[in-house]
Amino acid sequence: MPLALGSFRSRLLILILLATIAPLTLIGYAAVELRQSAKREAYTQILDIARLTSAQQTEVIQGTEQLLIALSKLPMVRRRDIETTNDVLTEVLKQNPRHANLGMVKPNGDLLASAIAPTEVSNFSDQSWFQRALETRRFSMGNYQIDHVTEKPTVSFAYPVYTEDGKLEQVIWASMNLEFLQTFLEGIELPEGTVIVFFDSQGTVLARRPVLPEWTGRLHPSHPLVEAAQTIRDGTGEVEGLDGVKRLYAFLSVGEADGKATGMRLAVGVPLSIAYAPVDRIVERSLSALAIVTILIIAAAWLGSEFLVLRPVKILLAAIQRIAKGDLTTRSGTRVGGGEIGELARSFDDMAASLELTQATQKQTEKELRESEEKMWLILENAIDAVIAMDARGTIIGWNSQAEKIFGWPAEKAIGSLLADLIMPARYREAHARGLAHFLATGEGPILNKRIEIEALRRDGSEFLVELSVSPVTFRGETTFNAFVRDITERKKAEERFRLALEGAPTAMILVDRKGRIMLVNNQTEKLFGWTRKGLIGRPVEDLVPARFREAHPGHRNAFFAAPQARPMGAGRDLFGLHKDGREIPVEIDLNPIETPEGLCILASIVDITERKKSEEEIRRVNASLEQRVAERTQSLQAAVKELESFSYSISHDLRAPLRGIDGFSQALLEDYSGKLDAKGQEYLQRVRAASQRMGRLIDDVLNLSRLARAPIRRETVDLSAIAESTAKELEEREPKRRVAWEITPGMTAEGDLSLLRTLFENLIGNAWKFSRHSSPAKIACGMVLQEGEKIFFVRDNGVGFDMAYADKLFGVFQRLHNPAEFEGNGIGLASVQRVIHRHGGRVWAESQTGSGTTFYFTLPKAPREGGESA
Amino acid sequence: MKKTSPKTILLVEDNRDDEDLTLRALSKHRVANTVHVARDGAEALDYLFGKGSFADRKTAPMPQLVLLDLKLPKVSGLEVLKRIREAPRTKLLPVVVLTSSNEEQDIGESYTNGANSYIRKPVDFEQFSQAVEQMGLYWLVLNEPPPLGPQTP
Repeated sequence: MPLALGSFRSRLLILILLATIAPLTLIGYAAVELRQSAKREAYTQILDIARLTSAQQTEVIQGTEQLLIALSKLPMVRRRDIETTNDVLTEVLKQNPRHANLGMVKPNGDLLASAIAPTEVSNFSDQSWFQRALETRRFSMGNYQIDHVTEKPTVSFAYPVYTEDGKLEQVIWASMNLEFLQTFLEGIELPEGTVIVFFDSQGTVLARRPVLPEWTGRLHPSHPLVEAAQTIRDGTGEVEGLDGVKRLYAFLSVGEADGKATGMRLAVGVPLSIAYAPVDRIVERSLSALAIVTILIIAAAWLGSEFLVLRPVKILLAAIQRIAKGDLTTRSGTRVGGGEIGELARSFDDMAASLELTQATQKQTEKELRESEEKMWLILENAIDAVIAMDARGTIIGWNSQAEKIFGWPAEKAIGSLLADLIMPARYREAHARGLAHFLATGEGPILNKRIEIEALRRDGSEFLVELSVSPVTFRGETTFNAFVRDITERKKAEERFRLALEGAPTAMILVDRKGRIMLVNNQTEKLFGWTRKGLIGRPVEDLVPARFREAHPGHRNAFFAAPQARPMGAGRDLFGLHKDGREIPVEIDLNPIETPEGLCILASIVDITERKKSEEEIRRVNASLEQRVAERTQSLQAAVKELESFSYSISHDLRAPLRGIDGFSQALLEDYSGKLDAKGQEYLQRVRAASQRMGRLIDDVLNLSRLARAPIRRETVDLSAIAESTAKELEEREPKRRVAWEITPGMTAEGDLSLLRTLFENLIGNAWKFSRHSSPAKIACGMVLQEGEKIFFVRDNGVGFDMAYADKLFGVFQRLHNPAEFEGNGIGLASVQRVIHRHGGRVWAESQTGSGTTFYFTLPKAPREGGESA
Repeated sequence: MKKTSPKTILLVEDNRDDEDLTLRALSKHRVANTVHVARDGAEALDYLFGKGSFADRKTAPMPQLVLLDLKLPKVSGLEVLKRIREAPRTKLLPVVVLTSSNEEQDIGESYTNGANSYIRKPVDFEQFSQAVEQMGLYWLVLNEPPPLGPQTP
C-alpha cells in the first residue's frame, strides 16, 4: 500500500513524528545548555592552563630579573671593570642556557660589556628594551628581535641601574632565547587540540604550540587573535585562531607582577569542536536513541495499524464498495469486531439493510410508476389535446393520436424526428433552439408552463394557429418536455366573430375577467368612456366606476360570479360610469356570464341613458302637471256626479208627482163625472192617463239606467247559465202562449255583479224574446265561444234582425230601430246592457241581418278596470 | 197608558194633489175614520207633540198610523221620523213612509230610522188606490197597535 499523504498510515506516521518533537526539543535545549556549560568548563580549563603557563613563564622572567639585579650588584659591574664583567657574563650565560646573551650598556646606549661580543652594533639606544627601561626606570622587556650575534629569535629584558641620587649608571640586559620558550611550550601537558600563543607587547608572535613557522616573529596587529590578546587583558573570548580555526581562548598577561610592564601576552585556545565534543557525543547518543525509539514506534504502529485498523477498515471498505456497486446484501459487522470501527461497520450494515428495504420499496414503486406512466400515456393518447413529448435534444419521444390528427404525421414518423423541423415554421426554429439551450443551461424558460398561441406546421406545409403549453419534467436527472397542443383555428374564428359582433353592437361592451381586469372592449366603449382601447385593456374595470361606488364594486362582482346569470346590474339603483375626463355618465348595464378560454368572464353591455334620463325627467314633470290637471278635473267631475245624483233624485220625486196628479185626477174625472162626458171625452181622459203612465215608466227606466251607472259593483263568480234559465222561465210565465226553442249552454260562469248581470240578461234575452215574436219556430241561444283564450258570451235569436248600417245607434239611450207600434220598448234596454258591460270592463257588440236574426256578443274580463263610464 | 184614537191617521204630505188623491183613496175604501193632514215636517211634529199652532190641542189621542212623505218643506220626512223614534211617547208609533222615491238610499235610511213600512206611490192612480186600501186595511184593521208610552203632563 503506497504511502499517500492522506492515507491512514501516513497520518499515523505524522502523528508519531509530531510526538518526537518534544524529546527533540528537550535534546536541543539540553544540547544548548550542555554546550554552554561545556564552554564554561573549557574556559575554566584553558584559564587554568593559561594561569599555570603564565605563572611558570613569570617565574622565568622573575628569575631573569633577579639575575640582572644580582649582576648589577656585582662590584666589577659597578666599577665598570669591563674585562672581568665580560668574563662573569660569559660564565653566567653558560649557566643559563635559556639566554642568548647578557650585557651592559651605558646610559647613552654604548656597549660596556657582554657575554658574547656583538660584531656590528655597539650602541643599543635604539633597542626597545633599552628605551622602555629608561622610560619606566624599572625592569622591562623589549620586543621580539633576532639577536645580532646569535641570530636567534629573542626577547630582551633590561634592568636600569641608578645611582643613589637617581642618575642612570648603566642598563643591564639579558636576551632570552625564544627557542627555549618553544621548548617550554612543547613540554607542557595539554589537552588535545589546545593551542598556546605568546605575544610581545606589540603583538608579535613569540611562540606557539603547535608551531606555525610562518607566524613566529610576525606582527599582524589587525588579526582578530592579536587584537583580542591586546584588548582582553585577563579573560576569555571566542576568536578565530592564527590558523583560521575558531576556538575558545583565554587571555592573560605574563610577568607583570609588582607593576612590571613586560607587555608579554599569553593566549590559550581550545577549538569548539573539542570543547563541545563530549556534549555533542551525548546529544548524538540521545538523538540516536530517539531515532531508534521512533523507528521502533513507527514499526509497531505500522504493523499494529495493519491488524487493528486497516484490516477492519479494508473489510468495511470492500463491503461499502460492494454496496456501492449495488450488492445491498453485503454485511461486514461480524468480521470487523468491536470498537468504533465495529460500531461503524454495524451502522453500515444497518444502512445497507435499510437501503435494501428502500430499494425493494423503490423497485415496487418504480413498477407502479411504470404502470402508472403507461396508464397516463393511455390517457394522454386519448386526450382531446395533442400531446407531444420531447427530450432535451429536441427530439420527439411521444406523439399521441390527437397529434397525429392535427399535424398529419403518424406517430412512427414523428417519434425520433426533431420537433422544430417537423411542426415549427422555419422562422421560429432558431428561437426554439436558443430557448431550449438557455433552459438547459439556466433552468429558465419564459414560455414554459404558460398558455401561448403560436403558428404550427401541418404535414402538408400549411400553417395553423395552436394553443400550446409546455412543461418541463425532470425525472432521474433527465429533462423532458411535455407539450399540450390544441388547434384553435375554429376558436380564433369564433373569437373573431365574437369580436366583430362586439364591435357591431350599438352599446358599449366590456369583457371583464374574474379579477376585474378588462379583457376586451368595443368601439362604443371608447366613445362612451373617452379611453382608447389600448388604454383600457388590462386595466381594472373599477377605473370606469365613480370613486364613491368603487369600493363596493368587487363585492358585487364576486356575487355575480357566485351565481353567474344574465341580469341587469344594480337592480333598482341608478348606475353611473366614469368618463376619462372625470364626468359621470348615467348608464344602464346588463351583465352576461361568458365562458372564455381564460375562464368565466362577465360581458357587460353598457347603455348611455343620459338622453333617456332627460326624457324621463321631462315625463315626470309633465306627469306631475297632468296629475294636477286630473285632480282638478276629477274634482269637477265629482261635483258633476253630485249634481247628477240630486238631479236623479228630483226626477224620481218631483217629476213623478205631477204625473200621479194627472193620472189620478183623470181617473177621478172618469169615476165621478162619467155621466157628463161623452165617449170621446172619456177616451181622451184615458189617453191622458196612458201618456202619464208611460212617462212614469220612462222616468223609472232612466232612473234605473242611472242607477246602473252609480251602484257599486260587488264581484263574485256568477252562474250565467242559471241567470239565463231563470230569465227564460220568467218570460215564458209572462207569455205562456209563446213557443220558443231555448238552447242555453250549461255551466257558463263569469266574475261580476249578480244584479247587474241579471239586468244584462233580462235585457238581452228580453230583446231576443221580443224580436223573435214573428219567427216560427222562434229560437233563442245563449252560449259561449273561446277566442284567443277569451270567453265571448252570446245571445242569439232568429228574429227580425236589423240593418247593420244603424249598428252604431244600437246602444244609444232612447234609440230605437223599430216602430213602437210593432215592437214595444223605450230605447233604454241596450243602453243598460252597454252600461253593465262597460262597468265590468268588457266589450259588447252585435251582428245582425234584417230578417234572419241578431246575435249579441259580450265579454266579461276577469280583472276589469272600474272606468270608461259616463253619464 | 193611553189608547190611540182608533182609525185615525196623520198624513204628512206637502203636495195638495197627492193629499187629495190619498184622501180619495182612503175614503173610497173607507179605511180611516179621521185623517189629519200636516203640510210639512214641522207641522207634523207640532201636531204630534202639541206645540206651535197645536199647543192648545190635547195630544191625546195619538193617531193610529202616520203616513209620512220624505220630501217635505222645513223639516224633512227622515228628520220627523227620527224625532218620533226619539220621543218615548211616540217611539212605538207605526210610521209608513209613503213617497215617490224608490231610491235605495231613501229606503235604507227610512228603515234604519225605524220606519215600519215603505210604500212607493205609483203613477197609475188605480194601482195607488189599491196600495192605499191594502195598507189601510193592514195597519188599521189587521195590525194590533203597539202600547204607547206615557203621556207627558
